[in-house]
Amino acid sequence: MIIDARTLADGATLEADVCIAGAGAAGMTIALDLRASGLSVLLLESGGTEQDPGVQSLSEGRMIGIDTWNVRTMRIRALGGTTGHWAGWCRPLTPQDFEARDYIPLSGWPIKYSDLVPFYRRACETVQIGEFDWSSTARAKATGKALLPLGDAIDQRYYQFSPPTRFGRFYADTLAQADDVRVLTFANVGDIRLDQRRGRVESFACRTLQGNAFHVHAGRYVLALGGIENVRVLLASRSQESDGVANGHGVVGKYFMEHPHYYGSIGVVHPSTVDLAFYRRGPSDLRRADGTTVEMLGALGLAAEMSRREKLLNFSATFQGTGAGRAGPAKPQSAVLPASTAQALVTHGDGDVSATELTVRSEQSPFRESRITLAEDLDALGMPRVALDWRIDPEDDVRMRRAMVILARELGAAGVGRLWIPGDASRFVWRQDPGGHHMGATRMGTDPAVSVVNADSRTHQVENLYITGGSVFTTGGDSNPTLTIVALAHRLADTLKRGTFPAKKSA
Amino acid sequence: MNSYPRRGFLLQVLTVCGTPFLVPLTSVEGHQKAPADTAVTRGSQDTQTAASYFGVRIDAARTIGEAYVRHLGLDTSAESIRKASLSALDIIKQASTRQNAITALERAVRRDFQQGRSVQLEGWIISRTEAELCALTLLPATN
Repeated sequence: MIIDARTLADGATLEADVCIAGAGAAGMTIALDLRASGLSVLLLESGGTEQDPGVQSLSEGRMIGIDTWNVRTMRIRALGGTTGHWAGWCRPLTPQDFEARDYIPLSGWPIKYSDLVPFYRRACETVQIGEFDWSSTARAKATGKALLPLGDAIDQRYYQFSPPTRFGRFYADTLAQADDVRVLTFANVGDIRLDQRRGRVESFACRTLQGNAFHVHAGRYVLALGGIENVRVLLASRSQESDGVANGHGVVGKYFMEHPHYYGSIGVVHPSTVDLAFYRRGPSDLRRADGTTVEMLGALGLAAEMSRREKLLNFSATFQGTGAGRAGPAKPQSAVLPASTAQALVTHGDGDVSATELTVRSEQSPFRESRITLAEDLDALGMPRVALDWRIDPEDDVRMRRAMVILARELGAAGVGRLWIPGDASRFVWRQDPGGHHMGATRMGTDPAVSVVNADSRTHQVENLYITGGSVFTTGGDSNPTLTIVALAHRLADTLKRGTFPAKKSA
Repeated sequence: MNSYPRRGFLLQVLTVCGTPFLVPLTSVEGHQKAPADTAVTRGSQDTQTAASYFGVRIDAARTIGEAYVRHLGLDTSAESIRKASLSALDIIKQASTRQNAITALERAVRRDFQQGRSVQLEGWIISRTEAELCALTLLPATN
């Protein structure tokens, strides 16, 4: 059932086996999985079924690092969360993304790719894409769209596109009809209350914007509030711990990662005869459960072996074009790319050339100085707002330049074309834009000194508190995170099902 | 999420750029047999082969050539240009015809990329042989 928290009596107490804060892709996935599990579930959502400006203003915050999307608008406070404006890009992380790489400090998840595959399969159904089959060769064969004739150094990959699934609209009725799931709208977690020994959560202290307060007591608690709000609630829960909850080592908020996007500054020039159909967004041979066609888009990255050998970060490059992204205003660089030189180099004057923009989405390495903190100003509920200080390790920029040179060489060796990037060998002129992907600030790991949750997504310090979403990513790869977020949510749901549930109220 | 209002959409100008630049150079028309190997005709042949490789207005390649010579810290004297272009010159010298030279140069360009011999000039990431050929276009056609 769905209950409006504004109708609760002030001072009310609610109980459940599992309390999930946040009804976005992660929180709703867990709640859906816990139906008929024998567990009672309470799912808290800050907003209602539709966006509300007053509620959305609770997300207001400051950006003090690299300019990024406004934190107020990039996350949606409503049922379904940010899937309300999700563009639907899906691709899993690669096996390499989970591995420790000695040249990237703090890389290496405590789980392997293979551990997540069964949950990726379930996630594919949840976000309404095709089967968990990421073979570009298979897609090329089935669709008749040719892959570029590139060497082994290049990994040809592709994205699938969710319709996109708006979780709020698509799954709300299912949850509303579940006997064992209560969805509480307009409910905001203001403080995480711990027991006397600070080892367990005793309750979530919640409020609505209308002023009524209530408490939730549960056996287990899950924060699924998004990559920024998970941090905010932990840090703001200072009634018993001055540095916030689960933050004994001061890690909460640190190592914030994005996917640096390179828009508009990397050109690829190729003979007009080069067939790029595989790299344009279009229909695939894959089908959803309802029989409709899944769209796909091909991309280029470096093969894992090449990436390891050259000590590089992961990236995916897509050819800009119809359906591959929204066009923006041309940048001044477009005027300086010499067309005659392009033709001289690429076709030797004996044929037409075409040019397009490569959009590159990159991994960033965990960087302690990139962080989320609390600002001094408060929101309407009296909770400190966030200050987002996104930064990128300068070494990442050097790595990306090397990666682009390798990509250029591979394109050249295959006779596909030439890469053009303003600048020279010592400095490319490009800008790193965000993807709106918030990762890493409550990272998963085995060492509490540099991580917040363990392999089960449970906080190291608080035994019945779990965190899920992009904030638990140890490293972020370059894939859009939603599919992995949903896979991790499925995995956590199974963990919660297996667990024992002591008395809801701690002593 | 990948819909981003600030993203630039670059290079569209080039999607329609082909035809106006398909202007063959009169100096490279036809495939002449290599002339006698004298200093004067050699210089002319090298330049014409380089120009023939690019097959367009020679100023396009010259811009890259000038950047390459600067990149190497050299001046634009004939001696410096030849010094900057030894590999490409060697390939041209070994070819019996201009067409053979161009074919060999194309192979060399791909081999450069395969073996990591690239250079970044004026925004382009090109092969070393391409850069040398661009430099050769700076030599006067009649030396």
